[in-house]
Amino acid sequence: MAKKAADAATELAEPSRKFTDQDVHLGGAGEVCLFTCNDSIARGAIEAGVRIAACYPGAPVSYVIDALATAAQTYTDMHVEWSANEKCAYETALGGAMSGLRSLCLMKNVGVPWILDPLASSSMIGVAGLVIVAGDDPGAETTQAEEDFRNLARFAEVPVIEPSTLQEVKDAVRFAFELSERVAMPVFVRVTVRQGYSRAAVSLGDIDHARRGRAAWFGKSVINGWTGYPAIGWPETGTSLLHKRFHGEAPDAYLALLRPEPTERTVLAAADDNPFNATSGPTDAALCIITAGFVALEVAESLALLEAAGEVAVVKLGITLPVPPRLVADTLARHREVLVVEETEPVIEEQVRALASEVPGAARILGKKTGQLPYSGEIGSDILIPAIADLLGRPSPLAADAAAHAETLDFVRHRLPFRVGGQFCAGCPETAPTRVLREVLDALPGLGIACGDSGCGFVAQYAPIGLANTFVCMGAGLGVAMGISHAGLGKVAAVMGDSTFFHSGIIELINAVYNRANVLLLILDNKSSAETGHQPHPGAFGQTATRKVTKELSLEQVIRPLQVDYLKVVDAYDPDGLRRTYHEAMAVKGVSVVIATGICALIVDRHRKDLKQQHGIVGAGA
Amino acid sequence: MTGNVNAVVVGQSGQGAILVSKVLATAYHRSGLAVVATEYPAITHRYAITYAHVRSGRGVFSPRIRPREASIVVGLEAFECLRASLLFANPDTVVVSNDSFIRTDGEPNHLLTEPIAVETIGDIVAALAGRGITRVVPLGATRLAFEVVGSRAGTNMVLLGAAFASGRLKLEQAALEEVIIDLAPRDTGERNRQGFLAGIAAYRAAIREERW
Ligand code: SF4
Repeated sequence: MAKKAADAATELAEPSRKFTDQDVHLGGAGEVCLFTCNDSIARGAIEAGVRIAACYPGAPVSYVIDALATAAQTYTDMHVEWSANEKCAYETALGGAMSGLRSLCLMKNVGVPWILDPLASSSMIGVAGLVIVAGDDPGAETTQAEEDFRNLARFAEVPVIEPSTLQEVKDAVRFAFELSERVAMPVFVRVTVRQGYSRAAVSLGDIDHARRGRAAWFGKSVINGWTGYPAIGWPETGTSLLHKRFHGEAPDAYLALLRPEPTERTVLAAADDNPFNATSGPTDAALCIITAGFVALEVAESLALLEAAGEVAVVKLGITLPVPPRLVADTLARHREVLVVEETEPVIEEQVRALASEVPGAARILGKKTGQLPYSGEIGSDILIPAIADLLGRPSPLAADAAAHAETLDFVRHRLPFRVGGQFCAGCPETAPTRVLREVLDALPGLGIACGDSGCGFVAQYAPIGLANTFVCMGAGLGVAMGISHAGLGKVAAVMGDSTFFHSGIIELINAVYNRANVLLLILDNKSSAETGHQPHPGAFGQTATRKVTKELSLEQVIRPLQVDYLKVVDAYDPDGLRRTYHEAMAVKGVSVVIATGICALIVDRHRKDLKQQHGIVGAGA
Repeated sequence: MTGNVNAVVVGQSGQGAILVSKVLATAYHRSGLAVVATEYPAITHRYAITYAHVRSGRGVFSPRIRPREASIVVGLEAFECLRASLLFANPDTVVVSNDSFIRTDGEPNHLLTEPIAVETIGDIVAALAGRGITRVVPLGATRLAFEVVGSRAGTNMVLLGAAFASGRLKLEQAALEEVIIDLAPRDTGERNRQGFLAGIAAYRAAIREERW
């Protein structure tokens, strides 16, 4: 039944409007809308006159593309795309910026490592009007690593701005383009998962249509063009000269040849000028809190509950990489103690500590490094209130609740028979391929190792299927399987989705063929990036982000020229066919690929409801 | 900050917890009331916990609700309602729970030593009472949804109606009805509104039996 409907689903259903429910380009200046964070990001970019926007889906920012794609139906000069991966997205935006157009790319926290190479290779060349919005994940709610991408931005010396309210998110995205143009560098905007999935009232600004309508322009120059390896000097390399310019170390003779920016001096000056830096509370308070981003709201909430806003100073930084040096130095000189409140790694705290060494009589600095606040997890007011109360020398008003909650957590951990990991949707085309593969691997001699990957197939690592024995990151399943096979542990299986294959799996497969790995790759061809919200990809329905017709790449036709040793396409709903195919594939020494094809059951279901509605059948469901 | 609305909506993914959050946030916004909300979508698409926090009132900055500070918990599925209520409810919290379960698979709780019974809605009510949470109103929301909305997908609207009837949402009925119609997917607006009204009636019938 589901398969019949699947056959009829010739186009990808409209994207979910769960996390972007507004036609964000429509409101006029001054209008106050209830926005999601994704709406706020999109509107900020539209107000800035963005022309190019690119993203690989990932929580919590991927719905921005849905809003921008809607806007692009009206502003047809905008190019909005789902990219094959984050590196493609960054490079598309980079090319747009090199052509003089305001350009945006978006990614999840674990997407940022994918762009590090082009980011670090382009941060010093003077490209402007380029904004990267990245979503961090304190608490690792939606991603496999609780990493703080600000440390990666530091690697490329790229500024990071951190808005707190959704109003600031919108305004900061708009501002980030201006900042990028002032400092002639890409600029990150950091949002966090809790902020990314929030809703609040946002007042709109005007849209810079003139900026968006500007003609593209491209300057060719081997010195001042867009190469990260310009031919300008000897014995210094051109690349090192760009770096020397940034840190004020380039010989004057070369400076005359180079663009004036980017320079660290301008970045630091811009940090102190950041319009989102804000101070509140008494300037002579003994205790000052330095904070930034979403967690600044938790600080405000905590001080309100403690009724301590009149006795604690707050310095909210609009930019956290670099921190505003004059503002922070002044803060360190004024107060006796400074508590740094930020989520995940102590990126602000470490910079504040470094600056303190230059401030005579600087405040004592408290935060993660001194144990007041945790590294891992979201920092809510339930964590902050006891910490601040302690520094103020008074009891926490939440003490009784905290004790009761700790006792409840103990009860939940030891007495509540819950299950972890979720499961596939009813009728999911990934159920049979993963379940049968585990059965076949268990039936064959050997260890029956399988390596997992991102996507909905992720849940197959848990009971009751228990397929995958490793899970690392996008595309890594096949790479890890290769290593295990080369270690001599027999033929190893890897399982990944179709979107992951186009993201990075294809490279792993080429590597497997070239290096004669003994692996079986199962590709779950569900025709979407289902886990992140059913976004289209190069192999799904031949549609772009803006719903234009494009080429639909067939997995089979893409893989066949790669000279794998075994390739078969199987119906995902045919367990017997799957079983036979796996046995054949496992018997082949070398690289075997099985493509299990079945459209995501939720897309099929949505299509069925649309058809029912078209034919006036009641009961399509809410 | 007493008197603020701190609503936790919880269910399994696909049950419409996020739509309830969106309806509530929009209703507060259109009523001219301050509102912030945040949602916790499940990492997979089905049968994993999804919840939302919706807050309205004075001194509300963050959308996150602190543990044990929900004024109301709306549970679209009985077991998830238990989980969320354990974390966010206190003895004064009103808990409106569907009496239906959706049994899920996955890894068992590997720390489990002395499991409590969680097989029936009676077990859930007893487990919450054992933790001091006694203002629990179980409702046959899924059955009502089938009857009134024509689909189990209307369960969320039935429970929204019940939550409204509890008085804890501090919204006008007309404001909620208007938003339900406006935000309903496809052609489900009027049927969803009927589900909402059925939820109000069901709640009122249920608490006639209660002392509080
Ligand atoms: S969203 Fe689609 S692919 Fe993912 S588990 Fe559900 S039916 Fe399967």
